[in-house]
Amino acid sequence: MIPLPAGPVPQRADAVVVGGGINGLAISVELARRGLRDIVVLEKAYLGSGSTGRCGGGIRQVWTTEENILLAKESVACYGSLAGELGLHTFFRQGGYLMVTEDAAQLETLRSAVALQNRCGVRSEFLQPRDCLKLVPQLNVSRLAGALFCPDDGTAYPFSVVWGYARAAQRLGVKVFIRTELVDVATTGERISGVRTSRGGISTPLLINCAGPWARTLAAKVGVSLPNRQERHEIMVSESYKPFLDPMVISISNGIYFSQSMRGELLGGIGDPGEPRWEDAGSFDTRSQLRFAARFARALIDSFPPAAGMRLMRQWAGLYDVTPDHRPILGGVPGLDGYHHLCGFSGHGFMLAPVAARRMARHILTGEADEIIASLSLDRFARGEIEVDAFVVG
Amino acid sequence: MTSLSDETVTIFFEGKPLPCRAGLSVGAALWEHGIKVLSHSHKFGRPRGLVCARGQCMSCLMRIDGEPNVRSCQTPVRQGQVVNRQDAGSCFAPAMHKALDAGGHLLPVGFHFKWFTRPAFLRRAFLDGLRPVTGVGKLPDRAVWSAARGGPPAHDHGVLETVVIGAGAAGMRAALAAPGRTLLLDDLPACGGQRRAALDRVAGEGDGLLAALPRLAQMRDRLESDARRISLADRIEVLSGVRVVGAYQPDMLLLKDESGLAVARAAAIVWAGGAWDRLGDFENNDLPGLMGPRALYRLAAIQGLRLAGARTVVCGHGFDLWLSAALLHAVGARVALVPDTVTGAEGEIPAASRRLGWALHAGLELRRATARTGALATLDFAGGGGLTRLPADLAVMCARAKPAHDIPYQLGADLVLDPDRGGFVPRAARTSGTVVSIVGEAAGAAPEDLCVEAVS
Amino acid sequence: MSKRILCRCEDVTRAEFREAYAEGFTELESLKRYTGVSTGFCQGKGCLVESALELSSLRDVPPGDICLTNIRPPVEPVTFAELARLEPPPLLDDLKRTSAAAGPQRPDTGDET
Repeated sequence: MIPLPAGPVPQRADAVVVGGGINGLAISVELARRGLRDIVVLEKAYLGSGSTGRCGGGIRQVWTTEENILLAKESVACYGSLAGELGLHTFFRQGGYLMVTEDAAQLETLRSAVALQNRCGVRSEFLQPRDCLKLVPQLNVSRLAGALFCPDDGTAYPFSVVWGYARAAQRLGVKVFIRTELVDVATTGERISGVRTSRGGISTPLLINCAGPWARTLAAKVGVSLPNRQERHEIMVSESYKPFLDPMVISISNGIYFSQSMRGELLGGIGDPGEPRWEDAGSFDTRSQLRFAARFARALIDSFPPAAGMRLMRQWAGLYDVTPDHRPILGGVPGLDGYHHLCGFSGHGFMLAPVAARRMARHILTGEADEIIASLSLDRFARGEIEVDAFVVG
Repeated sequence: MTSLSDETVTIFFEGKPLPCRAGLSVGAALWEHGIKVLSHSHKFGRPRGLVCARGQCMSCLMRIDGEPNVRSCQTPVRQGQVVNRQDAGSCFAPAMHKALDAGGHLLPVGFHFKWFTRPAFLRRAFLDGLRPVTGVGKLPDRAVWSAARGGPPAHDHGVLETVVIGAGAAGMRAALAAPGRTLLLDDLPACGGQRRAALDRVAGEGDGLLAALPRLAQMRDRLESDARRISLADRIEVLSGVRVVGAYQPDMLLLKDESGLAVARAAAIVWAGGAWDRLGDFENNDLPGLMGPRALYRLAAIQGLRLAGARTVVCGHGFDLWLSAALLHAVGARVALVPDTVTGAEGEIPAASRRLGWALHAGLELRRATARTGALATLDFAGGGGLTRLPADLAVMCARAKPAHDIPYQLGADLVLDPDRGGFVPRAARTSGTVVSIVGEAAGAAPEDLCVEAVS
Repeated sequence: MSKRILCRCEDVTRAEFREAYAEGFTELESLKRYTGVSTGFCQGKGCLVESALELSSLRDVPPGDICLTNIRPPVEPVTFAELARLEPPPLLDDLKRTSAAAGPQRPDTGDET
């Protein structure tokens, strides 16, 4: 896989990618596939140790803004064949997404979301509460107002996706350095000229910021101010059970989500409006909290009554790299050549990374304009073009 | 587990009624009926059964009264109880499991990541075929989950001065030494730990067994004396039947007893949670019938598992080698002793064995365990120029135990892997900057080190 | 068939652990997820020490170089019904507690050297 580094980093590279999560690994593969040699990926801990390895692995098209839907639709298609390309199972299982609400005031949002999704070619449909029982017989529908179901959405296993990309990267000659931290970035005039790492310096004209929760800190090193905040989210797995749940269930009224993993464990979390939003990496605290276990348990039993007799096995926390409109930040910045963002995925990086990386690699190497990248560039905030997606959960 | 009465209850194991002595756990009751295979491992279908006897290793999980993944070693038998193995009628027929187990590399590591990734139709077929055989228990019956709902709110003990977790040798000493009000927690009904229960059982046997083994008598005196001092100390409150099931930094403990969960916070926490049995690395080291001394003490001394006439083998070294052999002797089992050595502290073993009628095979190395009808039947040893095969219904592995590291880790202790002390132990003698201090076997001490003269 | 079992809960043999290492999973965080050791019901009580010692031998480094993976609460599975009876403690106070007892925070990334 990725051997622990034995020596210093190479002295030069055609590109340095910061972050060994799904974004960093995917873009290194996509750049290498398109002919870029001498790519170095830097990961300060282990592959997937950041947000990628902590997430619930959800992959869905049911969003409310066109960019998110279109990107997500490409992602689902991408995940459909990713395992074959990487030669490692991703465990992408399209059990569907069942999005429910107890709040009658949200029904209009659901209906118009379905309409927009359908216009974009996504096969979602609006459901009455009792129709949900056909999909999840044990679901408590007594207080539901309505639901939305998309059969093509699903889940995958983050670590195997990470390893798949890492192996593909290695095969393409990418050098992945784990336990290697980026210390500083050097610029010459208005160009990236190199980086300094904990294992030596690398001169390079191209730096890609895939650092997720640390993207803001990295951007500051090159004088770029990102509006990202880091939001703490907690998640748990239960004991293992034989298959009993096909779709991912997600509530937009109380923020709970849960699905059954390939190992038979219930995997889920719940949003907490009280969770902190950090700016400073030094504040990050992903230690498990009893509050989450208690809140999640109450909400889970309410939605899925058999859970009363099921057991929580392990809980952990991770960070969403959140932008003001919950959409990623892609592309470069004016006045600094060679620096690109691939961050700010606000809790849905795992599902969008393969496609975002593909588009970004093409854009970086050919200079071709990309509508989606243009609309998701950093300067959209200065232009006031903020459209917040309504279906942010977790 | 409460002490046994003469009362009998009838449980239904896979439809068959079985009379069981009330007070035994389901796992122990089934053992007494010769049913030692309680589950099968989910990849190779290997037989599993009682191992740790304290609800920590999960090898004894069964479906009991419609509830999945129940630890049968911790669940008392009840009249009319319905007990089933969870893999009965699973997708993989037993024959297929046997083939997979026998086929060695038929299922190499990571096969489920690597096989049939292309073409797409094969990939889909593979994953679709894999899903039904994943998972362990089935969803709980409606009766179970609807009864589980509601209930009184969990108790909050509030913020305490000192909490000592574990009332064994080191925990009792820590409680006695702590200033101010102290809460002493243990999952057993009485202070002194598993060893005290075992020593009491040995003492309860006539014919001066304890007197013949002075180091055991010495430990018992010390544990009794400390337990007495604790009962007399007003500032120490003992909570029995309580397990610490989680720690949330910096100072919050999640406790569990028969009535449910509770929380407590403490300015100072002493972790005296002891160590976990280590079974060792040899072939078929997962067979039902292999266990460590702590499990033996719980089964034989605390639960009262009948082992009269059983052929038992005790391997290893140290205090637990002695105590395990003595306990098995006290309950009427036949004892074969396989100490690592008979020099040094173990020098008295040959004389004791002769006196007490224990077969003795010194300096052998365990190579393989073999089964009959799924459970342990023999142990194969190398050494002395040949192969020694010993019959065994139960074998006790008294190897270097592993300090229990999970709770102190969660409380922020800085731990380092030290094989000489058995596992992950505190890096410094006093962990500074955290609320927890670690003592006793949890810090890597050997039981011998805990046996000092009783303080008057 | 004779097997030397390393992780009972996930049915992983010692040979499999070594094979995974040979495939390139050379640090504990990825080894555990690839092989399954310590990810089952007992969360490593039965195998984490043995796995870490095996890894130190495979990598030919002192045991002290192999750090614990993140041990998360609870240490034994607890029913959701029991958890639901707990009054959820306040959140921000928990996270912002900086009492002297809290001490230096260990990085939450399985800090293996």
